[in-house]
Amino acid sequence: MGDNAIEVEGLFKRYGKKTVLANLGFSVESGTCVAVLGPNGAGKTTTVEILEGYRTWDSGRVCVLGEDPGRAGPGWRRRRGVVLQGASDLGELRVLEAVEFFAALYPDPWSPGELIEMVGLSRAVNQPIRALSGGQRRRVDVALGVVGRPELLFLDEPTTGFDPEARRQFWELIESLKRSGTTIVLTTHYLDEAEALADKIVIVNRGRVVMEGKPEEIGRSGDGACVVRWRRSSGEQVEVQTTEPSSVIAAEFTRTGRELAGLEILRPSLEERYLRLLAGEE
Amino acid sequence: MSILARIALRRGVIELKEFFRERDAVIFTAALPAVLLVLFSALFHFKAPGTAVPAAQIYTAGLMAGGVASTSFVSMAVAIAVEREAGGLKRLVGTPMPRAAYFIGKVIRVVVVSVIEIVLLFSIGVLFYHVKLPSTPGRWWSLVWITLLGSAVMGELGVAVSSLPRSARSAPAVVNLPFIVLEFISGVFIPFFMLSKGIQHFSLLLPLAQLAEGYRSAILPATFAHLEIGGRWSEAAILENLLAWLVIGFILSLYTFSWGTERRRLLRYHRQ
Repeated sequence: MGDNAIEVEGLFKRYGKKTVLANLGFSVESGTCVAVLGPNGAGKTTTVEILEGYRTWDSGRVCVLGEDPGRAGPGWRRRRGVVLQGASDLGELRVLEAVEFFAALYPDPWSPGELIEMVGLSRAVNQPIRALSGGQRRRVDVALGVVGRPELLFLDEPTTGFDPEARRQFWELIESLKRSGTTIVLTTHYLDEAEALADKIVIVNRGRVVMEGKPEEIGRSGDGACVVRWRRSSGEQVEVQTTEPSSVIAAEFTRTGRELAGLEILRPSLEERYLRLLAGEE
Repeated sequence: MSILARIALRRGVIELKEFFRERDAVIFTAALPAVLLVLFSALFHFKAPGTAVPAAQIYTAGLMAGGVASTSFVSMAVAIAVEREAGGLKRLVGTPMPRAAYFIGKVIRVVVVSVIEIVLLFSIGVLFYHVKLPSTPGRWWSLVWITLLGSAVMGELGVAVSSLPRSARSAPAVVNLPFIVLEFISGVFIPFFMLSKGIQHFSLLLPLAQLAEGYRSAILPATFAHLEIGGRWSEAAILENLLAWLVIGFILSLYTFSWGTERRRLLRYHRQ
Protein backbone atom coordinates (compact mmCIF):
# COMPACT_ATOMS: atom_id res chain seq x y z
CA MET A 1 0.00 0.00 0.00
CA GLY A 2 1.18 3.52 -0.79
CA ASP A 3 1.76 6.16 1.83
CA ASN A 4 -1.31 8.13 0.89
CA ALA A 5 -4.77 7.01 1.93
CA ILE A 6 -6.29 9.61 -0.37
CA GLU A 7 -5.04 11.19 -3.56
CA VAL A 8 -7.06 13.72 -5.53
CA GLU A 9 -5.83 15.40 -8.69
CA GLY A 10 -7.46 17.81 -11.10
CA LEU A 11 -10.98 17.18 -9.79
CA PHE A 12 -13.82 18.91 -11.65
CA LYS A 13 -17.52 18.76 -10.89
CA ARG A 14 -20.37 20.73 -12.40
CA TYR A 15 -24.06 20.87 -11.52
CA GLY A 16 -25.64 22.13 -14.71
CA LYS A 17 -23.75 25.28 -15.55
CA LYS A 18 -22.42 25.81 -12.08
CA THR A 19 -18.86 24.65 -11.55
CA VAL A 20 -18.56 23.38 -8.01
CA LEU A 21 -15.08 21.89 -8.11
CA ALA A 22 -12.45 23.38 -10.36
CA ASN A 23 -9.15 21.56 -10.51
CA LEU A 24 -9.17 20.56 -6.87
CA GLY A 25 -6.32 18.46 -5.59
CA PHE A 26 -4.78 17.30 -2.31
CA SER A 27 -3.57 14.18 -0.61
CA VAL A 28 -3.95 12.59 2.82
CA GLU A 29 -1.08 10.60 4.25
CA SER A 30 -2.03 7.32 5.89
CA GLY A 31 -2.39 7.51 9.65
CA THR A 32 -2.81 11.28 9.75
CA CYS A 33 -5.77 13.55 10.39
CA VAL A 34 -6.62 16.11 7.76
CA ALA A 35 -9.17 18.87 8.31
CA VAL A 36 -10.97 20.26 5.27
CA LEU A 37 -12.07 23.83 5.93
CA GLY A 38 -13.85 26.37 3.84
CA PRO A 39 -16.89 28.64 3.76
CA ASN A 40 -20.35 27.24 3.00
CA GLY A 41 -20.70 26.53 -0.69
CA ALA A 42 -16.95 26.22 -1.18
CA GLY A 43 -17.22 22.61 -2.34
CA LYS A 44 -16.22 20.86 0.90
CA THR A 45 -19.21 18.57 1.13
CA THR A 46 -19.13 17.73 -2.57
CA THR A 47 -15.46 16.84 -2.28
CA VAL A 48 -15.89 14.69 0.80
CA GLU A 49 -18.95 12.94 -0.63
CA ILE A 50 -16.97 12.06 -3.74
CA LEU A 51 -14.25 10.57 -1.54
CA GLU A 52 -16.84 8.65 0.49
CA GLY A 53 -18.26 7.11 -2.68
CA TYR A 54 -21.60 8.94 -2.59
CA ARG A 55 -21.11 11.22 -5.57
CA THR A 56 -19.85 11.11 -9.10
CA TRP A 57 -17.45 13.61 -10.63
CA ASP A 58 -16.81 14.92 -14.13
CA SER A 59 -13.07 14.62 -14.53
CA GLY A 60 -9.93 14.17 -12.50
CA ARG A 61 -8.26 11.34 -10.62
CA VAL A 62 -9.57 10.19 -7.25
CA CYS A 63 -7.92 7.36 -5.36
CA VAL A 64 -9.13 6.37 -1.89
CA LEU A 65 -7.46 3.41 -0.17
CA GLY A 66 -6.04 2.44 -3.54
CA GLU A 67 -9.42 2.33 -5.29
CA ASP A 68 -11.73 4.51 -7.33
CA PRO A 69 -14.57 5.31 -4.90
CA GLY A 70 -17.03 5.55 -7.80
CA ARG A 71 -16.52 1.88 -8.60
CA ALA A 72 -15.37 0.35 -5.36
CA GLY A 73 -17.50 -2.40 -3.87
CA PRO A 74 -18.33 -3.74 -0.41
CA GLY A 75 -14.72 -4.79 0.19
CA TRP A 76 -13.69 -1.15 0.00
CA ARG A 77 -16.65 0.03 2.08
CA ARG A 78 -15.52 -2.33 4.85
CA ARG A 79 -12.24 -0.44 5.08
CA ARG A 80 -13.62 3.06 5.43
CA GLY A 81 -16.15 4.51 7.83
CA VAL A 82 -18.43 7.49 7.39
CA VAL A 83 -19.98 9.70 10.04
CA LEU A 84 -22.62 11.69 8.23
CA GLN A 85 -23.90 15.11 9.08
CA GLY A 86 -27.28 15.44 10.73
CA ALA A 87 -28.69 11.93 10.39
CA SER A 88 -31.85 11.45 12.46
CA ASP A 89 -32.77 7.87 11.58
CA LEU A 90 -32.85 4.79 13.88
CA GLY A 91 -34.89 6.66 16.50
CA GLU A 92 -36.90 3.63 17.56
CA LEU A 93 -33.89 1.38 18.13
CA ARG A 94 -31.93 1.12 21.34
CA VAL A 95 -28.27 2.09 21.25
CA LEU A 96 -27.08 -1.50 21.64
CA GLU A 97 -29.46 -2.82 18.96
CA ALA A 98 -28.22 -0.28 16.43
CA VAL A 99 -24.55 -0.93 17.16
CA GLU A 100 -25.10 -4.70 17.04
CA PHE A 101 -26.79 -4.50 13.66
CA PHE A 102 -24.06 -2.39 12.09
CA ALA A 103 -21.35 -4.53 13.68
CA ALA A 104 -22.83 -7.55 11.89
CA LEU A 105 -22.03 -5.92 8.53
CA TYR A 106 -18.26 -6.08 9.04
CA PRO A 107 -15.80 -8.97 9.23
CA ASP A 108 -13.85 -7.76 12.25
CA PRO A 109 -15.99 -5.28 14.18
CA TRP A 110 -15.55 -3.81 17.64
CA SER A 111 -17.44 -5.66 20.30
CA PRO A 112 -20.60 -3.55 20.61
CA GLY A 113 -20.38 -3.26 24.39
CA GLU A 114 -16.76 -2.18 24.30
CA LEU A 115 -17.39 0.36 21.56
CA ILE A 116 -20.38 1.86 23.36
CA GLU A 117 -18.19 2.33 26.40
CA MET A 118 -15.46 3.86 24.27
CA VAL A 119 -17.80 6.54 22.91
CA GLY A 120 -19.10 7.22 26.41
CA LEU A 121 -22.62 5.84 26.07
CA SER A 122 -22.45 3.02 28.63
CA ARG A 123 -25.25 4.52 30.64
CA ALA A 124 -27.51 4.93 27.60
CA VAL A 125 -26.90 1.47 26.18
CA ASN A 126 -30.54 0.37 26.43
CA GLN A 127 -32.14 3.70 25.71
CA PRO A 128 -34.03 4.32 22.51
CA ILE A 129 -31.96 6.55 20.27
CA ARG A 130 -34.76 9.11 19.92
CA ALA A 131 -34.49 9.78 23.68
CA LEU A 132 -30.82 10.76 23.50
CA SER A 133 -29.46 14.30 23.59
CA GLY A 134 -27.91 15.78 20.46
CA GLY A 135 -24.42 15.07 21.72
CA GLN A 136 -25.26 11.48 22.62
CA ARG A 137 -26.84 10.94 19.22
CA ARG A 138 -23.67 12.13 17.57
CA ARG A 139 -21.74 9.57 19.61
CA VAL A 140 -24.02 6.88 18.24
CA ASP A 141 -23.21 8.16 14.74
CA VAL A 142 -19.52 7.94 15.52
CA ALA A 143 -19.90 4.45 16.97
CA LEU A 144 -21.72 3.30 13.81
CA GLY A 145 -19.05 4.94 11.66
CA VAL A 146 -16.13 3.22 13.38
CA VAL A 147 -17.73 -0.11 14.33
CA GLY A 148 -16.00 -1.92 11.45
CA ARG A 149 -12.54 -0.71 12.58
CA PRO A 150 -12.01 1.36 9.41
CA GLU A 151 -8.56 2.30 8.17
CA LEU A 152 -10.03 5.58 7.01
CA LEU A 153 -12.74 7.56 8.75
CA PHE A 154 -14.72 10.51 7.38
CA LEU A 155 -16.17 12.87 9.97
CA ASP A 156 -18.55 15.50 8.62
CA GLU A 157 -18.94 18.37 11.10
CA PRO A 158 -18.97 15.93 13.99
CA THR A 159 -19.32 18.35 16.91
CA THR A 160 -21.90 20.83 15.65
CA GLY A 161 -24.22 21.57 18.56
CA PHE A 162 -21.94 20.15 21.26
CA ASP A 163 -21.31 21.94 24.52
CA PRO A 164 -17.62 22.64 25.25
CA GLU A 165 -17.25 19.66 27.58
CA ALA A 166 -18.80 17.23 25.11
CA ARG A 167 -16.52 18.62 22.42
CA ARG A 168 -13.41 18.00 24.53
CA GLN A 169 -14.51 14.43 25.22
CA PHE A 170 -15.15 13.93 21.54
CA TRP A 171 -11.69 15.20 20.69
CA GLU A 172 -10.20 12.64 23.07
CA LEU A 173 -12.11 9.91 21.28
CA ILE A 174 -10.73 11.06 17.93
CA GLU A 175 -7.22 11.26 19.39
CA SER A 176 -7.50 7.66 20.54
CA LEU A 177 -8.60 6.58 17.05
CA LYS A 178 -5.62 8.47 15.64
CA ARG A 179 -3.27 6.70 18.03
CA SER A 180 -4.62 3.37 16.81
CA GLY A 181 -3.53 4.36 13.29
CA THR A 182 -6.84 5.42 11.74
CA THR A 183 -6.59 7.97 8.95
CA ILE A 184 -9.16 10.71 9.53
CA VAL A 185 -10.72 13.26 7.20
CA LEU A 186 -12.58 15.90 9.16
CA THR A 187 -14.73 18.73 7.89
CA THR A 188 -15.59 21.37 10.42
CA HIS A 189 -16.47 25.00 10.91
CA TYR A 190 -14.59 25.15 14.20
CA LEU A 191 -11.05 26.33 13.69
CA ASP A 192 -10.01 25.36 17.22
CA GLU A 193 -11.19 21.83 16.47
CA ALA A 194 -9.12 21.68 13.30
CA GLU A 195 -6.13 23.05 15.21
CA ALA A 196 -6.52 20.53 18.02
CA LEU A 197 -7.01 17.44 15.87
CA ALA A 198 -5.51 17.94 12.45
CA ASP A 199 -1.98 17.22 11.30
CA LYS A 200 -2.76 19.05 8.11
CA ILE A 201 -5.35 21.59 7.10
CA VAL A 202 -6.74 21.91 3.59
CA ILE A 203 -8.66 25.10 2.88
CA VAL A 204 -11.15 24.90 0.05
CA ASN A 205 -12.70 27.96 -1.54
CA ARG A 206 -14.59 28.28 -4.82
CA GLY A 207 -13.99 24.68 -5.71
CA ARG A 208 -10.24 24.53 -5.32
CA VAL A 209 -7.62 24.20 -2.61
CA VAL A 210 -6.39 27.67 -1.71
CA MET A 211 -3.97 26.58 0.96
CA GLU A 212 -2.76 23.45 2.67
CA GLY A 213 -0.30 22.93 5.45
CA LYS A 214 0.20 22.27 9.13
CA PRO A 215 -2.24 24.20 11.32
CA GLU A 216 0.53 26.48 12.61
CA GLU A 217 1.67 27.28 9.05
CA ILE A 218 -1.71 28.23 7.64
CA GLY A 219 -1.92 31.88 6.62
CA ARG A 220 1.55 32.77 7.87
CA SER A 221 4.05 34.35 5.60
CA GLY A 222 7.41 33.80 7.29
CA ASP A 223 6.97 34.36 10.99
CA GLY A 224 4.10 36.74 10.36
CA ALA A 225 3.07 39.88 12.18
CA CYS A 226 2.43 39.69 15.89
CA VAL A 227 1.63 42.06 18.71
CA VAL A 228 3.97 42.59 21.69
CA ARG A 229 2.21 43.99 24.73
CA TRP A 230 3.47 45.02 28.16
CA ARG A 231 2.88 47.54 30.95
CA ARG A 232 5.18 50.48 31.75
CA SER A 233 6.01 51.22 35.37
CA SER A 234 3.60 54.16 35.05
CA GLY A 235 0.84 51.56 34.42
CA GLU A 236 0.50 52.60 30.80
CA GLN A 237 -0.30 49.68 28.45
CA VAL A 238 1.97 49.47 25.39
CA GLU A 239 1.19 47.52 22.22
CA VAL A 240 3.64 47.25 19.36
CA GLN A 241 2.81 45.53 16.08
CA THR A 242 5.94 43.92 14.66
CA THR A 243 7.40 41.06 12.71
CA GLU A 244 10.47 41.06 15.01
CA PRO A 245 9.17 40.69 18.56
CA SER A 246 12.55 39.71 20.02
CA SER A 247 14.13 42.99 18.89
CA VAL A 248 11.28 45.04 20.33
CA ILE A 249 11.55 43.33 23.70
CA ALA A 250 15.36 43.52 23.74
CA ALA A 251 15.30 47.24 22.93
CA GLU A 252 12.78 47.98 25.71
CA PHE A 253 14.70 45.85 28.21
CA THR A 254 17.98 47.58 27.34
CA ARG A 255 16.31 50.99 27.72
CA THR A 256 14.71 50.36 31.13
CA GLY A 257 16.90 47.59 32.54
CA ARG A 258 13.81 46.15 34.18
CA GLU A 259 11.53 43.12 33.66
CA LEU A 260 8.66 44.01 31.35
CA ALA A 261 5.51 43.73 33.42
CA GLY A 262 2.65 41.70 31.89
CA LEU A 263 4.70 40.86 28.80
CA GLU A 264 2.72 39.06 26.08
CA ILE A 265 3.43 38.15 22.49
CA LEU A 266 0.15 37.71 20.63
CA ARG A 267 0.07 35.88 17.35
CA PRO A 268 -3.06 35.84 15.20
CA SER A 269 -5.09 32.72 15.89
CA LEU A 270 -5.78 30.18 13.16
CA GLU A 271 -9.25 31.65 12.94
CA GLU A 272 -7.94 35.18 12.34
CA ARG A 273 -5.44 33.93 9.77
CA TYR A 274 -8.12 31.83 8.09
CA LEU A 275 -10.53 34.76 7.84
CA ARG A 276 -7.77 37.01 6.53
CA LEU A 277 -6.90 34.41 3.92
CA LEU A 278 -10.50 34.17 2.73
CA ALA A 279 -10.84 37.96 2.71
CA GLY A 280 -7.77 38.12 0.48
CA GLU A 281 -9.56 35.79 -1.93
CA GLU A 282 -12.38 38.21 -2.55
CA MET B 1 -26.29 -19.42 6.05
CA SER B 2 -24.94 -17.05 3.42
CA ILE B 3 -23.92 -13.57 4.43
CA LEU B 4 -26.82 -12.10 2.48
CA ALA B 5 -29.39 -14.31 4.21
CA ARG B 6 -27.93 -13.63 7.64
CA ILE B 7 -27.86 -9.84 7.19
CA ALA B 8 -31.27 -9.78 5.47
CA LEU B 9 -32.76 -11.60 8.43
CA ARG B 10 -31.22 -9.12 10.87
CA ARG B 11 -32.58 -6.31 8.70
CA GLY B 12 -36.03 -7.89 8.92
CA VAL B 13 -35.83 -7.94 12.73
CA ILE B 14 -34.75 -4.28 12.76
CA GLU B 15 -37.60 -3.38 10.40
CA LEU B 16 -40.19 -5.07 12.61
CA LYS B 17 -38.84 -3.44 15.76
CA GLU B 18 -38.91 -0.04 14.08
CA PHE B 19 -42.46 -0.60 12.86
CA PHE B 20 -44.02 -1.88 16.05
CA ARG B 21 -42.34 0.70 18.26
CA GLU B 22 -43.80 3.54 16.25
CA ARG B 23 -47.28 3.46 17.74
CA ASP B 24 -48.88 6.15 15.59
CA ALA B 25 -47.96 4.28 12.44
CA VAL B 26 -49.18 0.98 13.87
CA ILE B 27 -52.53 2.51 14.71
CA PHE B 28 -52.91 4.31 11.41
CA THR B 29 -51.88 1.52 9.09
CA ALA B 30 -53.08 -1.51 11.03
CA ALA B 31 -56.06 -0.37 13.09
CA LEU B 32 -57.70 1.90 10.54
CA PRO B 33 -58.94 -0.88 8.23
CA ALA B 34 -60.42 -2.70 11.25
CA VAL B 35 -62.16 0.46 12.42
CA LEU B 36 -63.58 1.02 8.93
CA LEU B 37 -64.79 -2.56 8.76
CA VAL B 38 -66.72 -2.19 12.01
CA LEU B 39 -68.01 1.22 10.93
CA PHE B 40 -69.19 0.17 7.46
CA SER B 41 -70.79 -2.95 8.85
CA ALA B 42 -72.72 -0.87 11.35
CA LEU B 43 -73.82 1.62 8.67
CA PHE B 44 -74.83 -0.69 5.83
CA HIS B 45 -77.23 -3.59 6.06
CA PHE B 46 -77.96 -4.46 2.43
CA LYS B 47 -77.54 -7.92 1.01
CA ALA B 48 -75.79 -8.62 -2.28
CA PRO B 49 -78.49 -9.03 -4.98
CA GLY B 50 -79.53 -12.62 -5.59
CA THR B 51 -77.57 -13.89 -2.57
CA ALA B 52 -77.75 -13.96 1.21
CA VAL B 53 -74.32 -12.33 1.54
CA PRO B 54 -74.56 -9.31 3.89
CA ALA B 55 -72.66 -6.06 3.41
CA ALA B 56 -70.47 -6.82 6.43
CA GLN B 57 -69.02 -9.88 4.72
CA ILE B 58 -68.42 -8.00 1.47
CA TYR B 59 -66.63 -5.31 3.46
CA THR B 60 -64.58 -7.92 5.29
CA ALA B 61 -63.17 -9.10 1.96
CA GLY B 62 -62.75 -5.56 0.61
CA LEU B 63 -61.00 -4.25 3.69
CA MET B 64 -58.72 -7.27 3.82
CA ALA B 65 -57.43 -6.11 0.43
CA GLY B 66 -57.40 -2.49 1.59
CA GLY B 67 -55.62 -3.49 4.81
CA VAL B 68 -52.90 -5.38 3.01
CA ALA B 69 -52.39 -2.48 0.63
CA SER B 70 -52.27 -0.07 3.54
CA THR B 71 -49.73 -2.08 5.54
CA SER B 72 -47.60 -2.66 2.46
CA PHE B 73 -48.02 0.00 -0.24
CA VAL B 74 -48.75 3.07 1.89
CA SER B 75 -46.60 2.07 4.82
CA MET B 76 -43.60 1.28 2.60
CA ALA B 77 -43.83 4.45 0.54
CA VAL B 78 -44.11 6.68 3.61
CA ALA B 79 -41.56 4.83 5.75
CA ILE B 80 -38.92 4.89 3.04
CA ALA B 81 -39.49 8.59 2.31
CA VAL B 82 -39.04 9.30 6.03
CA GLU B 83 -36.00 7.05 6.28
CA ARG B 84 -34.43 8.69 3.25
CA GLU B 85 -34.93 12.21 4.59
CA ALA B 86 -33.54 11.23 7.99
CA GLY B 87 -30.34 10.06 6.33
CA GLY B 88 -30.93 6.40 7.15
CA LEU B 89 -30.65 5.15 3.58
CA LYS B 90 -27.46 7.09 3.00
CA ARG B 91 -26.01 5.62 6.17
CA LEU B 92 -26.89 2.08 5.11
CA VAL B 93 -25.66 2.41 1.55
CA GLY B 94 -22.34 3.67 2.90
CA THR B 95 -21.77 0.37 4.71
CA PRO B 96 -20.76 -2.94 3.13
CA MET B 97 -24.34 -4.21 3.61
CA PRO B 98 -25.51 -6.02 0.45
CA ARG B 99 -28.17 -3.74 -1.05
CA ALA B 100 -30.55 -6.65 -1.52
CA ALA B 101 -30.58 -7.20 2.26
CA TYR B 102 -32.38 -3.90 2.68
CA PHE B 103 -35.18 -4.91 0.34
CA ILE B 104 -35.49 -8.41 1.75
CA GLY B 105 -35.79 -6.81 5.17
CA LYS B 106 -38.64 -4.65 3.85
CA VAL B 107 -40.37 -7.71 2.40
CA ILE B 108 -40.13 -9.46 5.76
CA ARG B 109 -41.71 -6.47 7.47
CA VAL B 110 -44.47 -6.06 4.92
CA VAL B 111 -45.39 -9.74 4.89
CA VAL B 112 -45.39 -10.10 8.68
CA VAL B 113 -47.45 -6.96 9.22
CA SER B 114 -49.87 -7.86 6.40
CA VAL B 115 -50.40 -11.36 7.79
CA ILE B 116 -51.20 -9.86 11.20
CA GLU B 117 -53.58 -7.42 9.49
CA ILE B 118 -55.34 -10.25 7.64
CA VAL B 119 -55.65 -12.33 10.81
CA LEU B 120 -57.14 -9.32 12.58
CA LEU B 121 -59.69 -8.47 9.87
CA PHE B 122 -60.59 -12.06 9.14
CA SER B 123 -61.11 -12.76 12.84
CA ILE B 124 -63.46 -9.78 13.10
CA GLY B 125 -65.37 -11.11 10.08
CA VAL B 126 -65.62 -14.62 11.47
CA LEU B 127 -66.48 -13.57 15.02
CA PHE B 128 -68.99 -10.82 14.30
CA TYR B 129 -70.20 -11.07 10.73
CA HIS B 130 -70.61 -14.85 10.26
CA VAL B 131 -67.86 -15.11 7.67
CA LYS B 132 -67.23 -18.84 7.25
CA LEU B 133 -63.78 -20.30 7.71
CA PRO B 134 -62.50 -21.71 4.40
CA SER B 135 -63.99 -25.18 4.03
CA THR B 136 -61.22 -26.82 2.04
CA PRO B 137 -57.39 -26.77 2.22
CA GLY B 138 -57.50 -25.25 -1.29
CA ARG B 139 -59.36 -22.21 -0.06
CA TRP B 140 -57.03 -21.81 2.90
CA TRP B 141 -54.17 -21.92 0.43
CA SER B 142 -55.85 -19.22 -1.68
CA LEU B 143 -56.02 -17.01 1.40
CA VAL B 144 -52.32 -17.62 2.07
CA TRP B 145 -50.89 -17.04 -1.40
CA ILE B 146 -53.10 -14.04 -2.07
CA THR B 147 -51.88 -12.46 1.16
CA LEU B 148 -48.20 -13.25 0.55
CA LEU B 149 -48.12 -12.29 -3.12
CA GLY B 150 -50.45 -9.32 -2.62
CA SER B 151 -48.35 -7.82 0.16
CA ALA B 152 -45.14 -8.40 -1.78
CA VAL B 153 -46.52 -6.70 -4.91
CA MET B 154 -48.05 -3.82 -2.98
CA GLY B 155 -44.91 -3.36 -0.89
CA GLU B 156 -42.76 -3.32 -3.99
CA LEU B 157 -44.99 -0.69 -5.61
CA GLY B 158 -44.62 1.29 -2.38
CA VAL B 159 -40.84 1.12 -2.82
CA ALA B 160 -41.27 2.27 -6.43
CA VAL B 161 -43.25 5.40 -5.49
CA SER B 162 -41.23 6.19 -2.34
CA SER B 163 -39.02 8.57 -4.31
CA LEU B 164 -41.92 10.62 -5.67
CA PRO B 165 -42.70 12.74 -2.58
CA ARG B 166 -40.33 15.67 -2.34
CA SER B 167 -40.13 15.41 1.43
CA ALA B 168 -41.06 13.11 4.27
CA ARG B 169 -43.71 15.59 5.39
CA SER B 170 -45.48 15.51 2.07
CA ALA B 171 -45.20 11.74 1.69
CA PRO B 172 -48.46 10.70 3.46
CA ALA B 173 -50.47 13.20 1.39
CA VAL B 174 -48.80 12.34 -1.91
CA VAL B 175 -49.25 8.61 -1.35
CA ASN B 176 -52.67 8.58 0.30
CA LEU B 177 -54.53 10.68 -2.23
CA PRO B 178 -54.12 8.30 -5.17
CA PHE B 179 -54.40 5.34 -2.83
CA ILE B 180 -57.80 6.40 -1.48
CA VAL B 181 -59.06 6.92 -5.02
CA LEU B 182 -57.78 3.46 -5.84
CA GLU B 183 -59.62 2.02 -2.84
CA PHE B 184 -62.89 3.53 -4.03
CA ILE B 185 -62.61 2.07 -7.53
CA SER B 186 -61.24 -1.31 -6.45
CA GLY B 187 -64.07 -2.59 -4.28
CA VAL B 188 -62.60 -1.68 -0.89
CA PHE B 189 -64.97 1.10 0.22
CA ILE B 190 -67.78 0.42 -2.25
CA PRO B 191 -68.77 -3.15 -3.20
CA PHE B 192 -67.22 -3.83 -6.59
CA PHE B 193 -70.44 -4.98 -8.27
CA MET B 194 -72.00 -1.57 -7.57
CA LEU B 195 -69.46 0.18 -9.80
CA SER B 196 -70.07 0.68 -13.50
CA LYS B 197 -68.77 -2.04 -15.78
CA GLY B 198 -66.35 0.40 -17.39
CA ILE B 199 -64.74 1.24 -14.06
CA GLN B 200 -64.64 -2.43 -13.11
CA HIS B 201 -62.80 -3.32 -16.30
CA PHE B 202 -60.36 -0.47 -15.80
CA SER B 203 -59.73 -1.27 -12.13
CA LEU B 204 -59.09 -4.91 -12.85
CA LEU B 205 -55.98 -3.83 -14.74
CA LEU B 206 -54.60 -2.60 -11.41
CA PRO B 207 -53.47 -4.87 -8.60
CA LEU B 208 -55.74 -3.67 -5.79
CA ALA B 209 -59.00 -4.68 -7.50
CA GLN B 210 -57.50 -8.09 -8.27
CA LEU B 211 -56.40 -8.46 -4.68
CA ALA B 212 -59.92 -7.60 -3.50
CA GLU B 213 -61.39 -10.15 -5.90
CA GLY B 214 -58.91 -12.65 -4.54
CA TYR B 215 -60.19 -12.16 -1.00
CA ARG B 216 -63.82 -12.36 -2.15
CA SER B 217 -63.03 -15.65 -3.85
CA ALA B 218 -61.33 -16.93 -0.71
CA ILE B 219 -63.90 -16.02 1.93
CA LEU B 220 -67.32 -15.36 0.32
CA PRO B 221 -69.85 -18.09 -0.55
CA ALA B 222 -69.76 -19.40 -4.12
CA THR B 223 -73.19 -17.88 -4.76
CA PHE B 224 -71.57 -14.42 -4.74
CA ALA B 225 -69.49 -15.18 -7.83
CA HIS B 226 -72.30 -14.36 -10.28
CA LEU B 227 -71.83 -10.66 -9.37
CA GLU B 228 -68.29 -10.65 -10.67
CA ILE B 229 -67.33 -9.70 -14.21
CA GLY B 230 -67.62 -12.89 -16.24
CA GLY B 231 -69.83 -14.38 -13.55
CA ARG B 232 -67.00 -16.24 -11.82
CA TRP B 233 -63.82 -15.88 -9.87
CA SER B 234 -60.65 -16.48 -11.78
CA GLU B 235 -57.65 -17.26 -9.60
CA ALA B 236 -55.50 -17.64 -12.69
CA ALA B 237 -56.33 -14.08 -13.81
CA ILE B 238 -55.57 -12.77 -10.32
CA LEU B 239 -52.25 -14.61 -10.25
CA GLU B 240 -51.33 -13.33 -13.71
CA ASN B 241 -52.17 -9.76 -12.83
CA LEU B 242 -50.23 -9.79 -9.56
CA LEU B 243 -47.20 -11.42 -11.15
CA ALA B 244 -47.26 -8.83 -13.94
CA TRP B 245 -47.32 -6.04 -11.34
CA LEU B 246 -44.49 -7.74 -9.48
CA VAL B 247 -42.37 -7.38 -12.62
CA ILE B 248 -43.59 -3.83 -13.31
CA GLY B 249 -42.91 -2.84 -9.71
CA PHE B 250 -39.40 -4.27 -9.86
CA ILE B 251 -38.56 -2.39 -13.04
CA LEU B 252 -40.09 0.84 -11.71
CA SER B 253 -38.11 0.48 -8.48
CA LEU B 254 -34.88 0.06 -10.42
CA TYR B 255 -35.46 3.37 -12.15
CA THR B 256 -36.98 5.42 -9.37
CA PHE B 257 -35.43 4.27 -6.13
CA SER B 258 -33.02 6.69 -4.53
CA TRP B 259 -30.72 6.06 -1.60
CA GLY B 260 -30.68 9.78 -0.90
CA THR B 261 -27.38 10.15 -2.68
CA GLU B 262 -26.64 11.41 -6.14
CA ARG B 263 -26.92 8.07 -7.88
CA ARG B 264 -30.64 7.71 -8.26
CA ARG B 265 -30.86 6.12 -11.68
CA LEU B 266 -30.27 2.48 -10.94
CA LEU B 267 -30.14 0.30 -7.92
CA ARG B 268 -26.67 -1.02 -7.67
CA TYR B 269 -26.52 -4.58 -6.50
CA HIS B 270 -23.12 -5.69 -5.38
CA ARG B 271 -22.05 -9.25 -5.04
CA GLN B 272 -20.91 -10.07 -1.58
